[in-house]
Amino acid sequence: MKKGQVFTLDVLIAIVIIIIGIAILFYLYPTKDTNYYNTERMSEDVISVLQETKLSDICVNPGNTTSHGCRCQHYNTVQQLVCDESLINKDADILSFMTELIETRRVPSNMIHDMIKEIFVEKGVIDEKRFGFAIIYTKPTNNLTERGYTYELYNTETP
Amino acid sequence: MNKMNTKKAQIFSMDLVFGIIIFILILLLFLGFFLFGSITKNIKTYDYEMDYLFMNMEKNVGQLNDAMIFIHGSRIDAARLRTFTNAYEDKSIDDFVIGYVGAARGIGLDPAAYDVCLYFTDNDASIISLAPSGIKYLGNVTEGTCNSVINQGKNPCDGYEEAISMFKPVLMDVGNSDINRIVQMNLVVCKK
Repeated sequence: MKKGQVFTLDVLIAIVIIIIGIAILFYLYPTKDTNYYNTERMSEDVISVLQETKLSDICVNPGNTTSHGCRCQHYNTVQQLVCDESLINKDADILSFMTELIETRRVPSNMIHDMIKEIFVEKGVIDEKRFGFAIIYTKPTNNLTERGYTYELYNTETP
Repeated sequence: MNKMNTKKAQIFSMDLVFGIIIFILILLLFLGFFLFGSITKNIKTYDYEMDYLFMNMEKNVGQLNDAMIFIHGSRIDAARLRTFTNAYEDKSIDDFVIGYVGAARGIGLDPAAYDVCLYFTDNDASIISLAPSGIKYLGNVTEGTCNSVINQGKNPCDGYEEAISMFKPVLMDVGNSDINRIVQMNLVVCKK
């Protein structure tokens, strides 16, 4: 191999190494990303909106059957659960309503999952591609006579 | 012959040493640049006041006259939002200075350091009109009103140091259970 070829090869190898180095650096430390999302308060906001929204805010005649005028125009799954004569508290907010469903075991737990998914995910309120979230229901132990339990009502990670 | 080999070896050694030195220099330069950039970025993003934006907005809006208090917790009163929009359509949402709390501003941020756009995203990802005039975005940025800038397809925070996007799920209460729905209230904060 001639001296010129050796130097050329040397330069080429050096350039390749530098390019690989720069590529790794750009990958590890991306340049200025100007979009930041503050998610600290999101969990409180999700619970708050469930707590402050009454069934009667989004449904007409809750606690009646659909043939008796009960409907939830924007929410089909909510309608299936709310338009039921066995509903105890017709004036409940969504959070209390979920508690009623859990405690009375009136519907399978996947219905509550579907309701949360409909309100937040399917309606585009929370973009699951960007933000994962979970809602857990915990019932504490009551005076040693009743054991507490925990339900995972919704979890982005669980299909 | 021996002398020539020594010279060749010296050239190779020199070349190798220079190569290594240049490589290390560039590596240090980039490492320093990116690491420093990354650290300053993290410091910049820790703006604790951002945690209280919606809370401050609600508190400050609550000082306006009753017909304009459009937010209460997670509930937006659509009629009052319309009144508020009509009053502040052409202004920055930082313009509604609250009299008796001194210089506190509508959004709770220093207007010298931040510009803010407020809007609501509907269930089909469209932006909700806030008033019959068709305005969808409230607030001002350097290039004009948020409404005009965003409607032109521009990023409202173009030319700013940072863009911070925040949202809160809220009930859009139009006073009719058939139309009411939970939507996204959005704040885009452009940091100067």
